[in-house]
Amino acid sequence: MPDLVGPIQSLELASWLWLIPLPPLLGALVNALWGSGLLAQAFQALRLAFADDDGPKPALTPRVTARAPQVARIAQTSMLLCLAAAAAESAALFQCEPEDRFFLRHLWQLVRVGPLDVGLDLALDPLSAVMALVVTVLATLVGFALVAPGSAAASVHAWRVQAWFGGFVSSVLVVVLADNLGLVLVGWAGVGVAGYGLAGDARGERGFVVQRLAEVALALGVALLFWGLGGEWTSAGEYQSDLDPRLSAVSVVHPGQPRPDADPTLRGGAATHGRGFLTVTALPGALVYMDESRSPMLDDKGAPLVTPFRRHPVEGGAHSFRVAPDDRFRAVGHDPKPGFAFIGGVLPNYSIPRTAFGADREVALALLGPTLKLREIEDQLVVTDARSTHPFKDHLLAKRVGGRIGLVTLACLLVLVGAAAKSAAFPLHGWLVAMAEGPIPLSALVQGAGTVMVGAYLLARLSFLFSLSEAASAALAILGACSALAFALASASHYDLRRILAYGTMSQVGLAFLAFGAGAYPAGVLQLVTHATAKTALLVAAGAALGATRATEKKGAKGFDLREMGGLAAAVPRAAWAYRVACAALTAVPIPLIGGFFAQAAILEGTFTATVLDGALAKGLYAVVLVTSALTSFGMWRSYYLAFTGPSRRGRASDEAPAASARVMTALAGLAALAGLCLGISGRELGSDSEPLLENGLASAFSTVGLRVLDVSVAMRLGLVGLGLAFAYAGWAIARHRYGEGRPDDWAARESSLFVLRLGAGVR
Amino acid sequence: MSRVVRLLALLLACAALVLAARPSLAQLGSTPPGPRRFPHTPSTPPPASGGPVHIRVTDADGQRGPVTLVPRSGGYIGELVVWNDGPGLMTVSRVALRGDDDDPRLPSHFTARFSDGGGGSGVIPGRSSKRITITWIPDREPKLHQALGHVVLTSNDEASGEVAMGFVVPQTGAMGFLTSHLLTLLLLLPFLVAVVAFAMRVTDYAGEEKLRGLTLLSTGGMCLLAIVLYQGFDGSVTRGDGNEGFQFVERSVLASSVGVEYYVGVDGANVAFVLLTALVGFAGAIAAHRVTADAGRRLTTFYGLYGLLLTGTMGVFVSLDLVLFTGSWAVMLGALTLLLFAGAAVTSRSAARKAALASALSTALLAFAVGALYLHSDPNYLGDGTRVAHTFALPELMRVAWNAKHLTLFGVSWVKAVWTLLFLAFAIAIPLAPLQRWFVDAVVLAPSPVGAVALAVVSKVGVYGLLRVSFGLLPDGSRWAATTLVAAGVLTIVVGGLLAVLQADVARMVAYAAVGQMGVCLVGLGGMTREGIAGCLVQAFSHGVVVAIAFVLVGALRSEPGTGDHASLRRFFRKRPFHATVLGVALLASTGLPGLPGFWGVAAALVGAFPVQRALVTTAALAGAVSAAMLFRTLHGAFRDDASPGERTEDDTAGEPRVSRELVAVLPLLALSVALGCFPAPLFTLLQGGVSDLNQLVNPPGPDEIARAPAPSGAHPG
Repeated sequence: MPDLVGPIQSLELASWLWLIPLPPLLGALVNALWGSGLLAQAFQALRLAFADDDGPKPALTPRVTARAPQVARIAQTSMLLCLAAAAAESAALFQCEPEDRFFLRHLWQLVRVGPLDVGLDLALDPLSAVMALVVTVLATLVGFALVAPGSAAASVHAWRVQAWFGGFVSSVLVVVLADNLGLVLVGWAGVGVAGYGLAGDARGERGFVVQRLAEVALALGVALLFWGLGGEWTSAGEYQSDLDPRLSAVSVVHPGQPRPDADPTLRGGAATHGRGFLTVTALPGALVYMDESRSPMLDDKGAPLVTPFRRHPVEGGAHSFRVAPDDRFRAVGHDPKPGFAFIGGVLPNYSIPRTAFGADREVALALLGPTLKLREIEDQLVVTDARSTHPFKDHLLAKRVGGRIGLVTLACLLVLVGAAAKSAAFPLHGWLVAMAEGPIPLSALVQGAGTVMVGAYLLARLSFLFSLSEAASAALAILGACSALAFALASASHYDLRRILAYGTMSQVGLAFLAFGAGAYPAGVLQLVTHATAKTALLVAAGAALGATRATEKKGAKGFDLREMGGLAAAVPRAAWAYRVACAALTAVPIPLIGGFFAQAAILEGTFTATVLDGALAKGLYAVVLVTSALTSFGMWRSYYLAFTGPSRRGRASDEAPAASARVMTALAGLAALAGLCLGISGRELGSDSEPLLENGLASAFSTVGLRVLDVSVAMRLGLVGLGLAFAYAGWAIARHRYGEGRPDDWAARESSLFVLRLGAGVR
Repeated sequence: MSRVVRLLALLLACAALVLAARPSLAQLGSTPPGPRRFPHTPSTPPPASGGPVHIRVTDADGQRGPVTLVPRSGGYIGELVVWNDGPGLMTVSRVALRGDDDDPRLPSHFTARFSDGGGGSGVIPGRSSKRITITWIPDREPKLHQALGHVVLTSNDEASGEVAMGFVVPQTGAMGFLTSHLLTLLLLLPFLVAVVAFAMRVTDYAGEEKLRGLTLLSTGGMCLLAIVLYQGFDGSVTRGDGNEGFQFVERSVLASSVGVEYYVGVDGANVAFVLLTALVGFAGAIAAHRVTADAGRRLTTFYGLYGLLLTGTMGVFVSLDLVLFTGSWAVMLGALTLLLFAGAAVTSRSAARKAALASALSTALLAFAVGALYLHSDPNYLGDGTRVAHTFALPELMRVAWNAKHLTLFGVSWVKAVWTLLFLAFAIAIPLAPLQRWFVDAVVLAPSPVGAVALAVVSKVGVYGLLRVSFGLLPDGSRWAATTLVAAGVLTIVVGGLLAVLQADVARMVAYAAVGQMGVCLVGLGGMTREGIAGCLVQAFSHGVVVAIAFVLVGALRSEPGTGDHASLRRFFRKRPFHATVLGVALLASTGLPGLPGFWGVAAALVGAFPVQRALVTTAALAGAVSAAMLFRTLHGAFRDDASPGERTEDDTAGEPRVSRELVAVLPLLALSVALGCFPAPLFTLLQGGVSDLNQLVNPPGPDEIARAPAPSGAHPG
C-alpha cells in the first residue's frame, strides 16, 4: 500500500453545475445587447458602413427605451432558472454520503504553465451549496423587488440596471462555486465591477478602487501560498524550490476507517485477490496509462478514461501509472495525441511507481506541491505518512518569510486584508458607507448576499488554512471584534437610515469574522446566512416604505433622516410589518428562537469556549459579542420606532407598495424569521446530542479545522446564551423606552449627550 | 509625358539595384564557384600517394548547395558529390551530420554515408569524385515537416580543413508553395503595397481607390496566411526536436563573403507576434479608409509608408539573421518617422524630429551591438555549407560561449556592455519609462490606423528583441540584469499609469495607458520563470489585440468634430454607445482586470516573477490596480449615461449617419479578444515550446532545485 494515507476529498462528477451561474450571465448579455437597443443600432451602423456614400443617408432608429418590462422579465426568468439549478444540485448533493459530498465540473482549461494550473472548474460542497442557495434565493427576491415604480429599474435605464444585476449575481456565484483561487479572483473582480455599474455614479468609485486593492491583496496572498507550497525563500530573499509538483499515490481513508497498515489482508506485500479502486482528480483532461501500457486506461464502456474520475476498478496487485496531461484522446482509433499544453514541464508526464492495491481499497493519485486548487491544497495538508505525522503540513508550517513571520500566517493576513476590503471590515469600510447612499435595492444586493458576503465566504472557504495559524486567527478575530463593536455603536447613533443599516451590516459581518477567528466556523456561516436574509428583508422593506412615501424625491438626503420620519406604519403597514419582523429576526428579541438567535447563541458559546485563541482573548471576545448584541438590538429597534411609530411628520402617502413588492417583502420577512430557526435549532444547550441542521451539513466542509472546544456543562451553556439574550433584551427595552410610541419630541437633543462617538463624519 | 519619364527613371533605378546586387545574387545562382581556399599553405607536405589533394563538395549536378532532399518511399533522399581536385589520393575519414545527441540540430533519423557502401569514410582517387547519400526516414507522425542541416566532411586535405555541405528538406504541407514560402509571402504582401504605392506616386497615377483596394487585399491575404501559419504551427516543438526549434524556416545566402543570409523562421517566441502583426495590419487597413488626402499629404505616400511599416515590423519578427533583423528594424522605425514627416501639422513635424532622433539612436545602438556580436562570433557555416569566419545567424550565435571569451568592451565586461547596448536600443522602442514621450507623440500625431499599428505592434518589437536577442544570445547578461528588467517594468507601469490619467486628450490617455501596461511584459521577463515568460508573451499578444481595438476606436472619436478631450468622449458615448462601450471595455481589458482578455497574461507574468522579486512585483500589482482604477474613474465621467431622455432623443435623431468602418475594422479583433478572455489555453499552447526553450536557456534548473521532499516522496513499491 502507499505510504501516504489520508481522507482525500472524494468527489462526484456533476455535469450540470455550470447551469447555476450561466442563466444570470446570459440574461445580462441579452439585456445589455438587445434590451438596450445596442445590437439593432450596431447592425444598422454596419449596414450603413457599406452603403453608397452618395445615396440618401437614413437616420438611425432611436434606441428603444420602452423595453423595461421585457428586460425585467428576462432578468427574473434567468434568476428563477438559476435558483432551480442551484436547488436541484444542492438537493442532489445532500443525498450523497457525507464524505462524498463534493461535486466537481471541469469545463475547460484556462492556463496551465508548469504548476500554475487554472481551469474553469466549478465545485459544489456543503458550504458552497448553502451559500449558492442563499445567494440565488435572495437575489431572485431582490430581482422581483427591483422593479418598483419610480426606481431606476423601471426607467429607460432598466436594461442597464438589469444587466449589471445579472452580471453581479453571476460573479457572486462564480466566487461561491470556484474550485481554484484563480477563478475566485475572476469572480471577485466581477463582483467589484458589477457593483460599481449598479451604483451607476460616483458613489461606487470608492468601492471600485478599494476592491481592486482587495483583489491585489488576495492575489499576493495566493501567490505567496502557491510558491510557498513548493519552495521557500532564503533569508537573502532568494527562492529555492523544494517540492516539485508531483502526483503521489495516497490511500484514501475516511475518518472512522482503519488505516491500511492495520488491515491484515495487506500485511506482507501486495494483496493479489479482489479489486481495488483508482481515483484521479488532479490535472483535468489528462490520460492515465497503467503498467507501462502504450494505450491509456479505458472505462467500462471502452471510452478513454479522462481525469478527473473516481473509483475506477483496478485488479488487485501492484501497478504503476503514468498520467499524461499533454495527451488528448482522439475520438477514432484510440490514439493519444498532444492536447493542451503543459508548458515547459520539468515532468511532462507524471509517473507513479508501483503501488499495491488491496481488496476494496481506494487509492488516489493526489497532486502534492504548488497548486491553486483549494481542494488539492487541503488534501495535501491532511495526508499522513507511515509514522502518522502530517509531512506536508508540518513542512509548510515550518516555513518563514523574512526570517520571522510564518509563511502561512503572512498568506492568511494578505487574504484577510483582501476579504476585509471586500466585506467592508474595520479600516476599509468607507466604500460601503458611500455606496449605501445609492439606490436601496442595490444596497440590498451588496449588503445582503453580495459583495459583503463573498469576502467572508472566502475566509470560511480557507478555514483549513486559517486554523493552521494562531496569529492569523487571532488577527481575524480581533479585526472582527473591532468591526462588530465600532460599527454597532455607529449604527446605534446615526440618523440616516441608510447608514444605520450599512453600519449594521458591517457590524454583523464583523461578528462572523470574529466567529471564524475563534474557530467557530459553522456559527460564523450561520451568522452570515441569517444576517443576509434579515438585512435583505430590512432593506427591501425600508426601500418600499420610503419609496412609497416618496422620501427620496422630495427631500433628497433628508428623506432618509430619522428626525424627519415617524409614523410610517400608518402609511405603509405592510412594509412596517416586514421591517419589524426583520428587526426581530436580526436581533432575536423580543421573540427568542427566531432569526439570528441560534447564530448568536453559537457565537457566544464558540467564543467563550474557543481553544484556538488565548484564554483571555476568548473571554474578551465573548464580552464584545455581548455588548454588540445589546447595541445591535438597541440600534435596530431605535430605527424601527423612530421611523415607523409615533407621530407622522409627513402627509399621508398616496400609495402602499405594489402587490408584487409586498409579496417579496412578506417572503423575505418569513425567510428572515425562519431560516435561522430551521438551520440552527438544536437541543445542545439543553444537553441533548442533536446537531443543528446547518452544522451537521457543514461538518465535512470544516472537518479539517479540528474544532476543539472546552467542554462546559449544560448549566454553563445556558448561562452563556442566557446572558447574551439578557443583553439583547436590555438593548431592546431601552430603545422601546426612549423611542417608543410616547417618545418626547426632543429625543434627538436628548441623545446627543448620550452618544459622543459617531463613527464617520457627515452626520446630517 | 512626365509620368512616362518618371516611370522610366523608376525602372532604371530598379535595374541598377538588381545589377548592384548581382554578385551576391549570383552566388545563389548557377555558376559554381571555385574551391574556397582558406589560408592556403602550399608548403603542406604531399600525402604518401603523391600529389596534393583538394576537397570540394557540390550537389549532384555539380552546383553549389544546399542539396535539396526529395521524397522517396516514406522518407527523403538526396545526394552530394565530393570532388578531389588534386592529383593525390584523398581519404575522407569522417562523414558526419552536424550536431549530436547533446546538441541536436536535426530531427532524428538522418543518415549520411557514401553511396558506394563505404559507410562513414572513403578514399577518393585524384581528380575524381564520390557520392554521399543523405536520407531521412521521419517518424510516422513527425513533429517537424522540414529539416535544415549540414554534412561535415573531414579529409586529409589539411589546407581546407573540415568542409560542409548544407541540405534542406523543404517544408511540406497541404498547400505546397504557400506553406513552403509562408513567411516570405507574409513579407512580400505588404512590400507589394509599398512598391505599387511609390510607383503610383512617382508616376502621378491617380487611382487611390484602387490602392485602397490593393491594401485591403494584401493585408487580408496576410490574415489568411496567418491562419495557415496558426494551423500548421506545432507549439510543442522545442530546440531538442531539431531545426533549432524553428518551423517554416527559409534560408538562403545573400552575401556569402560577409555571411549575410536570408534566414527566417518562427518558433514559440515569435509566432504570436507574427499573427498579431497580420491581424492588426488588416484592421488598420480597414480603418485607413478614414484617412483622406489633405494638404501636404498624399494617399500614395501614406499607403506606401504603411506597407513599409508592416514589412519592417514583420521582418523584425521573422528574421533569424541579425543583418536582416537590424535592417527591418531601421525600415520599421524609418517608415514611422516618415509618416510623421508627411503630416501637415507643425506638431507632427516636431514629433517627427523626435521620432527621427529616437529611431536613429535605437538603430545605431542595435547595429553597434550586432557588429560586436558578429566580430566575436566563431567560424561557422552558412546555409549552403560555405565556411565563414563570422556569422549573423541567430541560432548559431546562440551557441557561442561569450563568457568563456573573457572579452571587455569600454573597459567593462563585454557581455554586460553588449547587453546594455541592446537593452537601450530595445528600451527606446518599447518604450520604457523615461523614454516614452517620442513614441506617444508619434502614435497620437500619426494617422489613427498607423497609431493603432504602432501602439499594438511596434511597441512589441522591443519586447521581442529582448527575448530573441538579449535572452537568446546573452542569457548570462540577462540573468545579471534581471532585477533591472523588473524595476524598469515597474517604473513603466507607474509612470505610464500616472501620465495617462493626467492627459486631457483621450488619444494621449489611451497611448500612455497602453505604453504603461507594456511594463508588465518586462516584469514577467525579469522573473525568468516559465510562468513569467509565458505571461510576458501572452500579455504582449492580448495587449496588442485590445490596444488595437481601443486606438482604432479612438480614431473614430477623433474624426468627430471636437477637441478630443473628455467632453468629446462624452458626446461620442451618446452618439455611438456601442463604440464607446467597446472602447471602455478594451481599455479596462488592457489594464488586466480579471476575467477580461488582458488578465491571464498579466496574472501569469506577475505570479511568475513573484518568487524572484517579491517587493517589486507587489509594487507592480498595486500600481497596476491603482492605475486601472484611476483610468476607470476618468472614463466614468464620460461614460455615465445619465442624459435625460429628452436630451437623448435629440442626439439620437441627429441627421448624420453614424457610419463606422472602425467597427468593421475591430470586429475580428473583438471576437479574438472575447475568445482570449474565456479560453486562453490555445494561446499558451502555441507558445509552450518557445517558452520552455527560453526558460532552459536563461534559468536552467540548478542543483538546488532537485526535489527535496520533506518526507517519503509518495509511493514506493508495495
